[in-house]
Amino acid sequence: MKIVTLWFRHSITIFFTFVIIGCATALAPAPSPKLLTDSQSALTEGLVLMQGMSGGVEAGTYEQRKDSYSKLLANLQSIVVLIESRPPASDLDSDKVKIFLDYASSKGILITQEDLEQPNLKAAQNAVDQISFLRDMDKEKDCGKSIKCPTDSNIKIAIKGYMISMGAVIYYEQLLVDLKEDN
Amino acid sequence: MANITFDTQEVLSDVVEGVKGIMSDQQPKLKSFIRSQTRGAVEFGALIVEGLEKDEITVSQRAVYLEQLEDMITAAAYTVAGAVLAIVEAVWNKMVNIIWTAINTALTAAIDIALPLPDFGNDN
Repeated sequence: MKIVTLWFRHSITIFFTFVIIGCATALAPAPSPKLLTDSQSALTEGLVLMQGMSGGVEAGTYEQRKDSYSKLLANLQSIVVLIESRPPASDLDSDKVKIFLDYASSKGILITQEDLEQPNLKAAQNAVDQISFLRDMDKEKDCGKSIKCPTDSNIKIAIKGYMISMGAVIYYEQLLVDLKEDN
Repeated sequence: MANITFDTQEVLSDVVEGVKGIMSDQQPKLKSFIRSQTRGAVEFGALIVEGLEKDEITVSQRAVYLEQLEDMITAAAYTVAGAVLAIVEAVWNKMVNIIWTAINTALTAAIDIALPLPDFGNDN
């Protein structure tokens, strides 16, 4: 009887153990310290470039910034590629995530499972678009009546937008690194 | 054969402490991120208005900026949703890890079998 009781207790414990293994989950991609440091560097690089243009820029000065734009855009595009190529979490198609997305949808926030595979990808793409837009404006000098182009307002908007976009990229990368260290 | 010792209260207490550690660290950061993104979006909008008033922004530029504003809000929403899931994953796996370790310790003592600790970052 004692042996049966022990066997039963062991079986319950082992069963519980395997249930728990089955419950372990992966809902976020793996952290990438390289993505984090590259994003932080790109933020600084972009701000240095734009702060040098503060107040607006004179005609005929684009060539002075041409290489800085190219280097910054290449770095940003490489961040986008790194995010895109990172394998997504394996358990994103679980029922629990679907419930979460349905709840968000019921509140008017439409987020698909694909959007969650790389949550900060759109923010990185936004940063590329913002710097590309500023570069094109600087190159083509199409600022209406203003003598300076990009104008002071164009630069301030570009700085603000860039900080928001890169802030989102960096926050998420830092979060992944921090959570990995905690575990 | 030794008895299996599994102190439920101690395991529960460890789980609570582990989860508290993650939440107390990450919750303020998430709140701060949401606040800074929201404030940033509002200030971005204000800068567009200011630029229009100063006649430093063209009509076509305004259209692009409004599109950028929409894209940034969408990106912030994706990032927040992704962050919530990452935190849920960490909390869940912390709980599993603590309970697994406790069970494994008890099993090893009782039947001398050490089950390998699974890698929670990977698909199990």
